[in-house]
Amino acid sequence: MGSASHVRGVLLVVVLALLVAACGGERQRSAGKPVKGGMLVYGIEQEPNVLNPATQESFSAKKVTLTTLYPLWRVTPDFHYEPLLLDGEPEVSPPGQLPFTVTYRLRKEATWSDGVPITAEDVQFTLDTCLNPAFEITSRLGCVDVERTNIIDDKTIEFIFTRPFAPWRNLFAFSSGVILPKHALEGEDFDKVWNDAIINPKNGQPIASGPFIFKEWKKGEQLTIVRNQNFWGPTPHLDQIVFRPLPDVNTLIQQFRGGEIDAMDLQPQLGIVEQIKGQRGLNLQVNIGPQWEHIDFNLARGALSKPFVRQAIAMGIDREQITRDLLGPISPEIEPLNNVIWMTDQRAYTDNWSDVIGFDPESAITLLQDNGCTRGSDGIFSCDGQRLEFDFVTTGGNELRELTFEVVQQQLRQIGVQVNADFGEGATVFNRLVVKDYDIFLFAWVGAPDPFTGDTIWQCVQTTGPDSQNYTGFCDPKVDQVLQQQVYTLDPGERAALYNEADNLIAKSVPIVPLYQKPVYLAWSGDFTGFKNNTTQWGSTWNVEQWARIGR
Amino acid sequence: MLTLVGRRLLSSILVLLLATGVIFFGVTSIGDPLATLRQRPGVSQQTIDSIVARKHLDEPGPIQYGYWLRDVVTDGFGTTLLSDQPIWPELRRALWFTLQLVLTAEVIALVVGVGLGALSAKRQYSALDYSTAAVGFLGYSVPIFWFALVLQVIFTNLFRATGVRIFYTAGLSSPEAGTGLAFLVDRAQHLALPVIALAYVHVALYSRYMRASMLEVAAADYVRTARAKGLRESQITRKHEVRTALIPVVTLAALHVGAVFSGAIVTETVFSIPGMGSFFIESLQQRDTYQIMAFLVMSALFIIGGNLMADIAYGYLDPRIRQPPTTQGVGGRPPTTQGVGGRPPTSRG
Repeated sequence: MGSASHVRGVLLVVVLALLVAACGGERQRSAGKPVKGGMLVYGIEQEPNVLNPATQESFSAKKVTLTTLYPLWRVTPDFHYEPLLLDGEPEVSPPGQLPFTVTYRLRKEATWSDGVPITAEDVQFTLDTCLNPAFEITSRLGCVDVERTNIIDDKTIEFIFTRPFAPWRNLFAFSSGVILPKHALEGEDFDKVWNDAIINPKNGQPIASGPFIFKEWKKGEQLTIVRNQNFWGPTPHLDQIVFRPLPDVNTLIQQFRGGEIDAMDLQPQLGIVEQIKGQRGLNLQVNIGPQWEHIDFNLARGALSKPFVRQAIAMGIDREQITRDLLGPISPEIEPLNNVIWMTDQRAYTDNWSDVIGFDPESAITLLQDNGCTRGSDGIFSCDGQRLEFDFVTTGGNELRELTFEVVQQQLRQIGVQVNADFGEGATVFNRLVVKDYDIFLFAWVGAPDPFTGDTIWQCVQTTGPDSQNYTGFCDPKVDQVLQQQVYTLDPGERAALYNEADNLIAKSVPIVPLYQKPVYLAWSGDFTGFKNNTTQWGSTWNVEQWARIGR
Repeated sequence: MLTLVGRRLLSSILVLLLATGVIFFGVTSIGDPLATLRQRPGVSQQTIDSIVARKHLDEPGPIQYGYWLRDVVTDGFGTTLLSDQPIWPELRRALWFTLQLVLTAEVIALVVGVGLGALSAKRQYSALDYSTAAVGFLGYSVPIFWFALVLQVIFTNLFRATGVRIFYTAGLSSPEAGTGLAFLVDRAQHLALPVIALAYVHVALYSRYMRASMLEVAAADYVRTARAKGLRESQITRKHEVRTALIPVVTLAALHVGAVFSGAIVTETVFSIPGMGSFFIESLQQRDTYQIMAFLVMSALFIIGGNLMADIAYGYLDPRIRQPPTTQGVGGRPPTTQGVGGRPPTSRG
């Protein structure tokens, strides 16, 4: 009995200790105006692998990098290229004048966190690093189009391009194009220098050009940035931001509900919205994201090589129903995507596809019959002896994609086409795209403010080779010609029209079926303000200097 | 004993070497390790060529295996595929976090499981016995993933309702956890739920094993003899029953720890503990075959090590194993007139 009372006593002490500790975690409900100071904890789904923005392209690394290091431009949520380190719009050579040149002027007040001015030499150094073959730079797009540069003065540099280069704004506009500090990185191994911390390797001190500066990274636990006391721009409100990696979405949500994290953004999952919407003290913003879901056809596979077969399949898929039933509960305003180059929230977006692949099962059946296809006793068509039965490949374990398959399978059955599930694990199944070992593949591309980066998906030269992006095998010389032409077309309106012309041509061939753009969520605690989602590659931390705690 | 350990150690090294071969050729046969990188628009051919040269991906399989094995032995598993980061520091960090979680959970599970099992055996068919059995079967059948989520939801809702935080739902520490006692309390609050989730299943396992083992030992003749000699019941339980009954349980625990050390993957993922399980999941997500292989080799090492520990533990706890071999039987146990269990012969008057 003595030992039992002893045990009870110990338990009581433990419970009391925990309760005392617990009281320290109580959330305070705030109301009022933004105040200076405070800490925000931001939940991210995946921890960065390395922090160097040029050798890695993970979304979570970008979130962190763009709070501490600035490129020349910032892309706002409405796809506007806003000068950041630049002092106004660059000077561009008049149309028709060769060579094509862009003259960048940097802000006089822009400095690094150690007080060293940000100069034209830094921009030159950034370009040289981008082009250096010794470094494993993930994207040299744009850099290779610069023939030479001319430093005019400390803050002015002229870029001379090899030819008129329409997507020139993309150069130094995203995390892969952040301006590098020459005085800190010259002579260093760029592949290793910023993997674990954004510092000046010459003195070991953190370095930044943005409103925040790197403090520490406890891998697996948290990454902390603090206010850059020497920031040349508007002083950020918050003292520090802590990024916490939380790979499990359900855990992320519970942490957010429980106040252990103050903000997060995440990919849509069925059932998530209800857990956050309407909850006291929590805010939620849903936007159309840049990732667009679509179905690829392998144009080299049997009956899929016939355009009328692809068109019939596309016409047999009710994209409105898929969008409404699967995404309606998450985001009622989402519509089917009808352009494979421009996204629905971009000004140049035009519907070029619904005339070609609008849902019309009767016309789909007629199209097959008019081309000599016959329906078997099981209701499945055959064309030239080739049965319209295909493997439908996608990533298993993705609830949205698995449901999409089920709906598509049922819809295509009505028009005499059979699709069979062929799901694979993400780590391995995408290899089948690269080697073109599939019939039909459901996955997503990521759109961009400037669609230039997606040209490789449609070009004939990209259908083969180890770095091919053209997984369908699509090849139309006319499309190639138009895509080549847009590179030299500097007028934005004309360029947009050329891209729409390319999109029109692609639509006629139906190498893919565009479905919808996935929504993205941004959620934040009612104790904070200043949040506005950005679905471009800048992401939700694009205006981190405006985030603030609300005072009582 | 030393001979036994030496023999087992030698065979373990051979098994581990074989395992590395299976792991390497198994993982590398999945497909092009650079497939994901090639998909990214704008990734230059120079970058891809550089990685191919660095990792000898253009060499035949056995040559690649040789390079990789060299890195495993001399360079802490070498570097990651894509960003050329040393693997060992990350693996070591993950191991340390897993150690905190798994050891705590195993110790609690063993203490509670052994205690409950012994009590259930002593009070067979009582309310305690039945309720322990029910909890045990429930623990065994409930998926850890679901149980972990339920714990998170319960304590989140408790916080939202009362504003009082008892336990944290994920991670290892608060952003400003402090130092000293404050840090320890904070760490305990963070580890509490994952430890409960992990220990709960293992308590169920160990309690059932202990109960069965205790019942078998309690029926032994030497226990009856001890009771007949007038020893106190508590002495009999402590010195004769529990100690003997512990043998299979401890052996099981040693094997278990070896396996669980490769990471309680589900628990660590749900609670965002950056341990071995999370390391493995991240390696898969990043499609980094070299990190995946490093994890698999470490897992093989722990399982082989766990087996070795189990053999040593068994040899230590059961003195009959340590006796020199006789002309009978396997394992050098002295001949008995009984079957399985190796109970010593009774002396009958």
